[in-house]
Amino acid sequence: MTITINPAIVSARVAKRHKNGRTPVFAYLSIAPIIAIMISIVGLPLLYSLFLSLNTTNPITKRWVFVGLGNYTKVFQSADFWAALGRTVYFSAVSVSGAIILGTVIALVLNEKFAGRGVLRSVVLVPWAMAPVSIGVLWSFVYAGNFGLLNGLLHDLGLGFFATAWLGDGFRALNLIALTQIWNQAPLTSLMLLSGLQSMPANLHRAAILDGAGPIRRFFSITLPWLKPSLFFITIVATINSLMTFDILWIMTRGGPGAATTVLSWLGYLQSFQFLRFGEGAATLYVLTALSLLLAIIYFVILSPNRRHRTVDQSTFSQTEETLRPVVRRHDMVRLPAWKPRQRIHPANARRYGRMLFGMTASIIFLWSALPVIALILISLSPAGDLIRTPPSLIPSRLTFDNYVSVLMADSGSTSVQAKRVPVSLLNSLSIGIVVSLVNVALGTLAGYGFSRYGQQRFFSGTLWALLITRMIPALTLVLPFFILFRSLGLIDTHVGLIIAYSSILLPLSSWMMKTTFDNVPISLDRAAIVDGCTRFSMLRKVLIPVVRPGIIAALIFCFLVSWNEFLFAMILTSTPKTQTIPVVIAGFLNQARFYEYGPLFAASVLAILPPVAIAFFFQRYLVQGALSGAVKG
Amino acid sequence: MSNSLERFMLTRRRVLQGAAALSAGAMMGRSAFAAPDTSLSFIGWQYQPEIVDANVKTFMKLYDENVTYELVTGDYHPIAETKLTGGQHVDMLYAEEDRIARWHAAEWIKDLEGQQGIAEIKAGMFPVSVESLSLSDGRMCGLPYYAGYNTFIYNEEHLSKAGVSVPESWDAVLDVCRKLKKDGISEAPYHAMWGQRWPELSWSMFACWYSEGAKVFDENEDFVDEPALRKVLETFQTFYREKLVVEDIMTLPGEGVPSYASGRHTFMVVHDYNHKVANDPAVSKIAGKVRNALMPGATHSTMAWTASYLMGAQPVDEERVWNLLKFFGGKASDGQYHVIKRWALEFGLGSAYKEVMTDPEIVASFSKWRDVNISAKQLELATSRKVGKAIWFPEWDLFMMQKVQEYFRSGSSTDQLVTELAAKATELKAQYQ
Repeated sequence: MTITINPAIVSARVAKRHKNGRTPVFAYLSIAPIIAIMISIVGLPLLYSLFLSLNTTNPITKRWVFVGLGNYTKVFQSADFWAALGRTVYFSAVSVSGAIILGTVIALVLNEKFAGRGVLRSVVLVPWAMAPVSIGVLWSFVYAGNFGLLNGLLHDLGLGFFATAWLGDGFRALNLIALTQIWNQAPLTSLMLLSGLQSMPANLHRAAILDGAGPIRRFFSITLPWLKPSLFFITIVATINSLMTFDILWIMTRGGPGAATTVLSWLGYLQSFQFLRFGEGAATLYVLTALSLLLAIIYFVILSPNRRHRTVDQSTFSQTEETLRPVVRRHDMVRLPAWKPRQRIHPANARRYGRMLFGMTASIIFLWSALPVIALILISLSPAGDLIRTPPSLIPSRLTFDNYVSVLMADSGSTSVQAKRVPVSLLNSLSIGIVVSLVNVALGTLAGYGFSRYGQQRFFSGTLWALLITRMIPALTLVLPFFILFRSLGLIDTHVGLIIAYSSILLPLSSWMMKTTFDNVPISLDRAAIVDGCTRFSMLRKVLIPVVRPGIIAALIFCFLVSWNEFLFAMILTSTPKTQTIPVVIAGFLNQARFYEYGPLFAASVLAILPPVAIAFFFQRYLVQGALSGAVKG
Repeated sequence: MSNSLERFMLTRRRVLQGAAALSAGAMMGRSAFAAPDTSLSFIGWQYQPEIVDANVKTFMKLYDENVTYELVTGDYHPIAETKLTGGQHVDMLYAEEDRIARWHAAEWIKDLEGQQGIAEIKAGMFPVSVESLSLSDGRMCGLPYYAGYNTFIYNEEHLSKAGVSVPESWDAVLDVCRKLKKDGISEAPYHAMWGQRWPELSWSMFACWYSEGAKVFDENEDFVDEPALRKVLETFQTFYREKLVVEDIMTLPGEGVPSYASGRHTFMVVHDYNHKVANDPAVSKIAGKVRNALMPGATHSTMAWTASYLMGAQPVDEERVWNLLKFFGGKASDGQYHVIKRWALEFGLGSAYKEVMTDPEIVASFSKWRDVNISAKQLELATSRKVGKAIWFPEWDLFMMQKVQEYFRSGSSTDQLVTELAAKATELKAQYQ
């Protein structure tokens, strides 16, 4: 392609740049708090951990040697690293593709109108709302061979011959962990895709039907191209989540059996915290960051919604001024096959089969989402001895609330301090979650406005991408720097400390979510408000915020759930019951040597998922509305 | 700015401290005003923390003291090490014996030599525990939390059905397991703690290696490739290959104890105190049928360990912390073993003190769920893991667990495994020098 420079175009572009150069101070002010906070709470720890990755450190021998890129060289020369990288890539490929395919199916079902749609939408969101620690606990008991819930179900259904030791085989274990990850991630994917589906004009499909296109052809020619912009962001988010998977592995397999489920995040944890080789561990985890970034770039090249536009724009540069009129884009979706008469099932039968297939799919989705949770509830209502029945069964020998009594009533005679800590930890999670959500969404809304309206400018777009990149850095990398920093500030074991730590995760997300929400609001609203005499701040407060309220609510719910479920920072940065959150207490149950504490553990797990489940049930409407307004698209 | 920040934080902390002190005072009444302002900090892992909490309260009452107990959930040692690396102040903390030398080298803890009555305390302990709690130069670093060993237990009913006696060698265990499986008495007769955690596969392997007479490491902390070590590895690989163990033995929840309590297995190498759980009708389907025997193998030895209470390197007040250590890991000022005896009676935890283990009340309690004569004999034959005093050992230990699990699963060659284990030990020794 030849590029010829037209002076008229250049002057027009320069003029445009000048115009853009007059960015109002308010735009900078809107993103200033988030930049300042991210630099102070993530920037310093990040620099420290980067510095660590260039050193060989050992706190035992007190040896600290600058090795430059030596740790990275060492990591790349390690056979364990390459094996873990291979598993990471496989695990991510399976879990990302699984989450996207399943999420698409769920979204397609939820996009239809049918009785009980609201309930199904709520049920589907439950796995996403649960803490990874609870998920790990639940699924480790689902897969346990001798007394596992899955084997119990198979025996109850008379299919006991299928029962097996699910995590016994290494490759199967890796796949089952991926399946667990899919269970957790598919709801978010479906929510994002649902937003795309609901904004798709119905007449596209009607026209295609008239042209003789069948459902499969319509899906690939109309629905999928329509969802492409959402898929880009979903793929990035799902990939980051898969690459960073830690909690589930920590609970379920600890990288085993052997090294069969040792992925890079687990390897980084072993090096950093089990072996105290902070330099090598940081290097491994930064390789993971680089991998996330590389994949994001690849997705950008393949899936970016702007790619096609950019190609068109570039081609216009080589053309003359006369050809600069708007380019008419032809969407793939309108290129339908020529009409071919074919044998059809009788319309009445087709409708009947269609309804049956739809009902079956909806039922499977319901069971897939709810059955593990129902099993968890059943076992929490069972006596301890039921866990070790032969053959295993999901049906309780009798119903009892003993486990709940021991969790909730401190003087019930329970032997578990963890049980006594549940009520306080629930309050801690609740209060921290509320503050974190409010702070982050307030700042995210402010920044989202700036990023949305001035995102074309290099400073704003660069900052936005920098924020996303901070999400690609494993939290494990920041744990030690956070601990040192917080300790010097007296923030260890404080609510404030946790709120700051969680904000490091949530500020980028809330900003991205709100930016996308504001993208869907016409800029003419801003202009009209300014013309009417509003200041920029009052325009944001009085005009735009009411418009984006559904997106704000969705972002609040999202932030609350992430805060509620966070485990790693809570585990390291808290030390006493006055600040410990519910995931820490649940994890504590796991380490109690007396295995019959699993009764209270299951009860605590049910209690821990109650608030997120309640949110999923009562606020799913807002989440879907938020999705429609763009908030959950990211 | 930093000064302002510091002032702000200081003021904030002072206000909080003041508020906390007032609240504590209001709650605890008169005695709280007599307790020292600065509390002793104590961190511990997740075993029956409610008992620890109650013990802390007893100590505070008895000594008119002020203690902050921090429960570490999750992986105790890595988290504790992260906190210590980050500079957290600790007066007393739990540790397994293989962390003592490591933490002492890192200057996180101090030895107890010179403390009042230390010689008398040592004299009252079993030598194997004194060795476990000391550095290689003999300096005592910790007081005992409890003393344990891996024991060999069996389901008496299964053996009766099969008409076989308790096997005394690993070959015999293998033969009996094959028979039990063939006769349909147990699908997976052998069971053990094979998860990738230090109290599971590591202790299990060392117990079985010692039972066959393997040294594993020599006096110079060099790995020893010997027939006894290989024999145990190959026997266990055979267990796995012939499905004489459950396939998911390496990922079972609850250290595999619930699985054994379900009655599916016949044998298990397990922590001695879990024998109590297996014979508890409230949580075990085979309660009353589980007996202990000497470990199979050429020497019938096992691995014994002594978990410890350590003193932080910079105690707020050495005398007060020493009192705390003695209360938890020895006799209190009233001459009673408050904590140790409670662990023994309520949870079946053994003690490092001869006096405690011969206490009639404790003997009577232990006799309800195990043969105390056999357990006494087993303890006499037990071996302490000296290599645990190498500061690099925890790292080798985790590597060993990964590789051994892979070896069992894949059926790979013993030569390769042993070579890798030896090479790792050499590499780590060089790294930590």
